[in-house]
Parts: sequence; structure tokens; C-alpha cells
Amino acid sequence: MEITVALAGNPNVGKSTLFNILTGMHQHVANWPGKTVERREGICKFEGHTLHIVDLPGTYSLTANSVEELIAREFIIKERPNVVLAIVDASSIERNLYLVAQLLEITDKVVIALNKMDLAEAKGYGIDVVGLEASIGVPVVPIVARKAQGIRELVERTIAVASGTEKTKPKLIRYSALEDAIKQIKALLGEQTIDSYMPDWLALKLLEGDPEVERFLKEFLPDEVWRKIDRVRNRNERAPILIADARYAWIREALAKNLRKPPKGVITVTDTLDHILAHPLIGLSILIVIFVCIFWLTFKLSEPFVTALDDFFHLLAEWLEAHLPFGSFVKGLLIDGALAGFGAVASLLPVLIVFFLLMGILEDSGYMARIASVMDGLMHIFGLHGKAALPFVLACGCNVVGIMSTRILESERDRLLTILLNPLMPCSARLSVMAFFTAAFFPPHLRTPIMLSFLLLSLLSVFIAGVILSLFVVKGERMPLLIELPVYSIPNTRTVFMFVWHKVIMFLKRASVFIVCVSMLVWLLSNLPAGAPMHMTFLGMLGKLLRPFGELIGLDWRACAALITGFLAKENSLATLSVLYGGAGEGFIESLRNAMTPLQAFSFTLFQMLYIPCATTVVTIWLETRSIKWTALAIAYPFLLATILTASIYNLATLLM
Amino acid sequence: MDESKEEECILPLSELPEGSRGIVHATYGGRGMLARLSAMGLTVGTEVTVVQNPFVGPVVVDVRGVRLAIGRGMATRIMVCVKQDK
Repeated sequence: MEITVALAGNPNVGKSTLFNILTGMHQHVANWPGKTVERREGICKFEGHTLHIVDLPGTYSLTANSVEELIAREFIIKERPNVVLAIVDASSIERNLYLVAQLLEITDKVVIALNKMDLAEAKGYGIDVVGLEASIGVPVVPIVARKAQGIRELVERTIAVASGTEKTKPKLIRYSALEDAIKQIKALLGEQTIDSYMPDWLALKLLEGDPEVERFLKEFLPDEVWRKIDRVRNRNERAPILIADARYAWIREALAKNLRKPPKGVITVTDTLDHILAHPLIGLSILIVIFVCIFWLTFKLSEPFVTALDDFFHLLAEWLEAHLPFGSFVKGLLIDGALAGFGAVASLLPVLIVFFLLMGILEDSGYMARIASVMDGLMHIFGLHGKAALPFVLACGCNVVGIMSTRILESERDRLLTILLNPLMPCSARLSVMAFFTAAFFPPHLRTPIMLSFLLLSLLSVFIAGVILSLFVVKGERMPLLIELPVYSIPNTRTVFMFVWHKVIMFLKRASVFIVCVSMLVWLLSNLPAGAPMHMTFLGMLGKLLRPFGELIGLDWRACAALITGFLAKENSLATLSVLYGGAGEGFIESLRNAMTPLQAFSFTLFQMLYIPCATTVVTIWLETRSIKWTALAIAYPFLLATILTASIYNLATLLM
Repeated sequence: MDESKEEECILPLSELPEGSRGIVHATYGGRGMLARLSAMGLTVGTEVTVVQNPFVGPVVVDVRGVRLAIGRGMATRIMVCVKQDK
């Protein structure tokens, strides 16, 4: 039998873990149509049945306040999955059941997976699962997702409910004070289902003041009917509060005899850790230390792999050069263009894998929420939400991933501002260029301070740009911080693995094809017209065009040409410089040192770190904002900022020396 | 005069010392904020325990068995009835 199962639940309850167990590698990530929210679907085959599992976004509620909630409820109402599998964290069952209550307002085909039973027990909770099932009226299956316990029974009962073999009889929520109002509105709606929405549910949403339902019904219903409905609503202004209370009363009754709470005043490990980690000052200092460690670890751990890959691609290039049966032009295009592009992508992979691995560990341990909490004050300066810190951190791996992760921000305004500021964070490609130049031009004892100064200047730019943009350009109200701090736990290997997997796939799908194509394009630009000397190629001529600009920041036409190719993909600038200045390996560094002063090198590095998002990032910005205006701004303002900053530093330093 | 042993005090959440416990008395805010707070477990009549309240930054509370970090601005608009033993 083919069954569609919708997976619903609060964030942090282990929904992804369960989804991964059920679907393994048979999962597929796309976008919800027309939205920038991820849609994960997968297949689970069990005893002859095929379960199509749709992972709904993790939500606390089903209101119209956020895109995720709308998506979740629209899917259940319109697509009518055979069963909704609600994952509930047993260690915070009271709050978790609020979503279940709202799910039961929509459908009665619900199965509750009571996850983290081990954690609940450790916290001192005692849950009578059988009693709970009897009280709520739907199947309740205890599981421990991270140990894959209880899954079999869960799937069996899910199939039973979906196929109708097991009938659910959920206990109804009593809205006592509002019963009359609900009846009146239902009558006004004609007691009928409108566009798949049940009248009971519509009446409830109208009393709650749901903007989506309002909008939809206002258009749909005749004016006179709408006015009458409005009057009922105005007579029941406290309805939203009463409805929330009714749901919690339902929860209280369901839990009354079935939940034994632990004695109060127990200090947990989370409490102790949070005293330092969630403390505004100490927590922030520790956070900075952790970030520094992450960056150091990322480059240290990935280094051997990057070197190995580099060597491999060099050998491959040499072999192909000797063995490919093509003319030198085609060979050049294939080897120095396409293969070089592949090599660039390959060299980035180890860095990204390690970086996202560390991020995944932080995320699954529960620490990420503390990052948002501790950074909230700082983010406040730009009018941003604490959660915005996370995309900025991810951007240091790859801007594309950072921008795509702005989806976790609930306010559109926050998303936009974070997307615009994101490219100022140095990504691993830019950091590689920075590391290269620093090593080539500065003695060992100066290297760390120089690199730190680059990073500080980047952060300074983010700060300046953030303040200016939030004051003058991206207007809107700041949403106050309200996040859950989950209990600290040991990261789950499978979850972390899938996290890394998804982020890396994201990068490969978006960026890699681009980089390869762009690499070929750059090669063509620097080799056409055929046979022309370097400065007469298309690339060379473009570089010469920029000479007056280059003088501002102390760069010659070759460096400018490298900046042009650097737009297409950051890793290209080094390759271009090597072509234009001549030499490879040690010889390249020689020729660079002969062509530039350390100050000019500093200028070039600083400029390339800030001046423009790479082409893939620009495309991503456009895809996420769907606005030419904002994309154009995202290209223009960093350029302006980079020019002003670099020109000032270069010219000031020249004057002083 | 009969001085009661316990005195009830209604204060904004942002002003409660660490370790204090009380019942949510009222929340001031738009419908959106109320809905968010309800969904997270913070409704009028709920017991709330203050876990951390530093001089700056979010207030950390325990509500319905869940730990929440609440921005200071929002915390000033959540009124809590605290029982103080004399």
C-alpha cells in the first residue's frame, strides 16, 4: 500500500533524526513550491508498504505568523496526507502537545511519536504511555530516535492509522466560553467546507485573528456576511487568549494522571554549563574563542587533504597534457580551464567538509541556540535578531550556504539585511587567497597579526555596512528574541553526517558547475585573440581599462584583471595572477614579489576580500530575494565600501612611509 | 491590621532576580507576539522560573518544562506575579 505520511513537530525534537532513520539515503531535498523553505521527502519501505514521508518544517504552532507554519498547515489541509506523525519530545511534553492540539483541530489521523524517552527519564519524568494514549485518543508510541528504538512499532501503528485498520478517537478540545461564537460563525459560513478548509477550523482561525484566513475569506465571502462575522469577532476580543488557554487545559487534562513531574530545584548539567555559556559576557568571550578554534581546526585538519588533491590534479593535468589527442588550444581549454575549475572545487571540499562537520556538532549539541542568545545584544546594533549570527558564521565556509541558511530567520526584514551583509564575511576561498598572499609577502612573525587585521577589517566593514543599511535602507521593526534553549546533548553521528551531507551537496549543486564554467570562460578571455601577447588578450584589455581605478588602490592592470576574474569565482584570481605574472609554484611567488610591494599586496588582498560577492553568490542572492533591486545593491555597496576602505588605507600608508 | 505572611508582587519579568518563581499575570504586545509566546508555552496563568537574568541580554526562564531565552524588550512586557515570603 502507498501511504503519505506528514512528519510534524517542534524544532529540536529529533524530527530530522527520525526522518533520516526512516528514509536513509532515499531522501530528496527541494523547495516548497514558490518558497525558499526546504522540503524534504523520502521513501520508507516496510513489509510491502511504501511510505512517502514528507518532513514538514519544524514549528511550534500552526498560525499564519511564519512561512514555515503556513507551509505545514497548508500541506496537511490541502494535500491530505493519510496520516500525520507528530513527534513529541517527552522531556518537555507539556509544551510539545500544543502543536498536537492544533494538529487535532485539523485532522484526526494523528500518531504521536514520543521521542527522547531516555532523556525524560534522566530528567526525572515518569510517563504512563498507555494512559496517555487513552486520554488523548490517538496512538502514542514511545521511541528513542537517536538509538533507533521503538521505530518498528511506530511504523506499524502509523500504517494502521493511515489504512484505517486502527481508528483514532481524539479527545476534543473544549472552547467553552467560545462555543457560541464558533457556532455563530460556522452558521455564517454556511456549515460547509470551503476550499478544503473545514468550517470548524475556519471559525476558530477567524476568532484567533489569523491574517491568512481573514484575507482568503474576505475575498471569498459576500461583504454582508463578512461584516456579520466581524461583529462576532469584535464581541470576542479575548478569543485568542481563550483559545490558547483551552488548548493548554486540554493538555493538562490529558497529562493529569499520566505524567509524573520531577521534584523542583534539580540542577542539571545544562544549568551548570549555561551559567557560563549563556552568560552575556563570559558566554560571548567563550564564543569568540570557540570560533577561533573552529577556523584554526578547519584549516589545520583539511590541509593534508587539500595538498593531496592539489598534487593529484597537477599530476592529472600533466598526464592529460601528454596524452590528449587535441590541439594545444582545446587542450588548454580542457586542462587549464575545465580541469583547473574542477581542481578548485575539489580543493575547497575538504575545508567545507571539516567546517560543516564542526558546525553540525555545535548545532546538534544544542549550543547554536546559545550562540543566538549571546549574540542577540550585538545583533541588536544592526537591528537584527540573535539568530542572524548563524548565517554569518556559515558564510565563512561558503557565502552561498550562509545566504541559504538565512531561512531560519523569521522576519523578512532580518532575512534581507542578513543576506545583504553576508558577502562581507570572508569565505574559505577568500581566506585561501588571503593566506597565500600573507605567506608570500610577510615574514612569519608578522603573518598572524596581518591575517587578524584582515579579519578585523572585514568585521569592521560588516559593522559599518550593517549600521548604514539598517538605518537607511532596510527599514522595519526588529523582532524580539524568543528562542528555546534545548538541553545540551551529545551530538548524534547520523544527524551530524546528514547535516554535513546536505550542506556540501548544496555547495556542489550551486557553486561547482558555475566555477567550472567560469574557469573555462576565464581561460578563453586570457587566451583570445589567439596568439596575442598577454596584455592584448580580452582579459588584458579589460584589466587595462581598469587602470585608472587600479591606481586609486595601488594595483596595476594585471591585478585588476585578476579582480575581474575573481568576481566570477574567487579562486580564479590566484590562477589569473599566476598566468599574468608568470611562473608557477615558487616561481610565481618570486614574480609576484618582484611586481608588487607588500603594501600593494595588502591592498589587493583587502580589496578582494570585500569588493563583490562571487557570481554564484550573486545568483543565490537573486534566487533568495527575487528582487533585482536588492541584488544590484548587494553588488554595488560592497564595491563602494571596498574602494573607499582600500584606497584610504593604501594612500594613507603611502603618505606615511 | 492583619499583615499577611506572603506579599504578592507584580513585576515585569525583566526585573525578577535569578531563582525567583511566579505566575504570568499579563503579557502586553501585539497579536503576533502573543501567539508566539503561547506557542512556546508562556501563557497567562503559567508558572515561570527565572534561570538567568544578567544585567544585559536575554532573560532565560523555565516554562512548562522548557527553557526559553527571551529578549529584554519582550521581558519588560511580561508581567509576573511573584509570591514573596516575609
